[in-house]
Amino acid sequence: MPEANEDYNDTHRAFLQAILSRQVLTFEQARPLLAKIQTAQNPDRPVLENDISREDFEQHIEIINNVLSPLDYEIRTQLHQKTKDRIYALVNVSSDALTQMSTTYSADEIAFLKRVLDAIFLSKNTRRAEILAISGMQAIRLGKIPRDGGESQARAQDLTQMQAEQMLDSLVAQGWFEQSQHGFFSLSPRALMELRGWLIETYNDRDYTEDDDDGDSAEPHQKIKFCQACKDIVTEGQRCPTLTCEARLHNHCVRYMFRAQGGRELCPLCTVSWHDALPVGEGAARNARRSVNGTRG
Amino acid sequence: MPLLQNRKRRQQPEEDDTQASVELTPEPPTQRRRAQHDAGADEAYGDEYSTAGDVSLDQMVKKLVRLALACEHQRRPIRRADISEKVLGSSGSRHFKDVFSIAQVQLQSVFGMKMTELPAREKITLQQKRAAAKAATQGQNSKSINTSWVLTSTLPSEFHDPEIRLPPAAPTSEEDGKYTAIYSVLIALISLSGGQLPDAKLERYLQRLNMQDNTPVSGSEKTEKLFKRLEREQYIVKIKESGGGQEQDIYWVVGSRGKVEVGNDGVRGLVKAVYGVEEDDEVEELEKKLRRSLGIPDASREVNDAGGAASQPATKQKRRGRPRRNDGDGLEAEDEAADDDDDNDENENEDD
Ligand SMILES: [Zn+2]
Ligand SMILES: [Zn+2]
Repeated sequence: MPEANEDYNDTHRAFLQAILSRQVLTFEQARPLLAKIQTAQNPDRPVLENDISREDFEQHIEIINNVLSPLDYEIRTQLHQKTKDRIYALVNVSSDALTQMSTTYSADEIAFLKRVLDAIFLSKNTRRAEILAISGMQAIRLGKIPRDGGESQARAQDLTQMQAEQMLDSLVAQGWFEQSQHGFFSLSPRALMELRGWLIETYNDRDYTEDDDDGDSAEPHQKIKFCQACKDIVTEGQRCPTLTCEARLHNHCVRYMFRAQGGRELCPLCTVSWHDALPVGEGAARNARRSVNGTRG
Repeated sequence: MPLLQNRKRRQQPEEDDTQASVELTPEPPTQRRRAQHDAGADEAYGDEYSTAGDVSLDQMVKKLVRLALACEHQRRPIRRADISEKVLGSSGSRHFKDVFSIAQVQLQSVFGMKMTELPAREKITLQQKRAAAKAATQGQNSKSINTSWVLTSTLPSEFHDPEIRLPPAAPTSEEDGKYTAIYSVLIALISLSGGQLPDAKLERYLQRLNMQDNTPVSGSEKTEKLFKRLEREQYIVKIKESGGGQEQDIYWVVGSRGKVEVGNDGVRGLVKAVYGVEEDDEVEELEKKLRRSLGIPDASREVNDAGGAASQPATKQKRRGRPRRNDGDGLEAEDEAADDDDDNDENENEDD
């Protein structure tokens, strides 16, 4: 019997079933859930939502993760870059999200998704403007395979405008994409957690010469960048005012960084003042139109 | 635009002329991850099964567990054919029994779930029975290859709570809630009618729910399409039986998935949870519940707290007057049912 851990009991199994049936959970959602589960386990000792501490919750997850790891699943967590909610998701460790999706989507839809991802992480992510998001209009236009697209897309079919819209809706509904108020699509926290390895492998580990016209691309522009404070991927946040500097921070991580530097509000890499930091994310689209040098508007 | 084919392949050198989706390798190496993780759990787990030189059995078990979870997530049955193709491979079919039973143990110990075989389609009509008999005499054995399973919970009933385990998520939970509400009620209606619901009667229920043409389930806006899906997913099944003459008997029965996922327990639980009564012929109530959970306004009465009823069992009502237990055969589901004590129910969901 693979009773890997004697601490592992039905409360963990029930919690796993709960998180399997949802896409993501926040701590706030998990509290009543865990209380209910623990009460079910022990009806004589009802547990209330407020009895569940963050520590209880984290410990619960740790025990589950120990048991899950041989199966290549893991509950991972990340702060939402916009809402700052702490998000927990059951992540498939060994097969990336695209592989999983390829069982639900057609090859043409997956090829479309790849074009959208390429746009988000390549053409919408240049040294000058790290937008890392794509407007609905631009995304839908990618339904058509660019004719200069070379052979890799040769066997794929175009998606009609309606098909592309439906695919985008579905990606939002399934929790892979998020759409902002201004209509920009970006990756959800869950997608970032599930795709982390794939993104790095696909967009960072290759010889890639930037196709924008910055002129000064002597050094390659690293596509996937990480927060100096929490080490997660940054697709929404701040960047060092020095355009060639690699330092990025989530908005919610800035103050931790400063605190760690004894209150000095400088770039942790090139020590330039962080006050003129530039936006990463959708804001960079507006910013890029106004200024190239990073004077804030 | 830079293309995928330029991507360096560290793990799997192969031809670079394949299209985008092909590079999504179905079998990414797992070692990196496992190495990082604390080895203790690994040993306590995998090694128990992998006697020397039998690494692949271990891998197959893992693949089956993962396949089962993936199928469940998409609300697809786990098909025997998929197991052969995706788990066992060309040389592994003789391992089926071992792999399956170990995967069962793992599913149960880790997830509190097991693969439950879907009952074979019942041979209900005379024609079906004849066809089956004919196939049998010709020695066709289609059973094993057509077998399929769905994941069901093995946890004690205290954990069977829709607030703990949501219905399988596809496409989104909210949509799913509507879909679940519909098939649960349909299955309840069929079950409470003694297992067979004449098509004409179903039609009447749909009319009363204002669902004769359209449904609130996105992706299945047309009632016809919704019923196709319900049939395809084996929640309910339509039976046509010609009784000798010109007349054709059309009725609905509970399908194999409906039996496993909802079943009599589900029906009993549904009725009990919502009304605080034991099984009773509360068709009217079921409709009300369905209307509420679907947010369909009920023109005849002003009782509408649109939505939410499906996942929020009402507080226990006073037990209803009629103590008659339903023995499962026969439901007088006509319109006059239970209209008299409606007034008591107006607020049944308000204070939970
Ligand atoms: Zn950060
Ligand atoms: Zn810097």
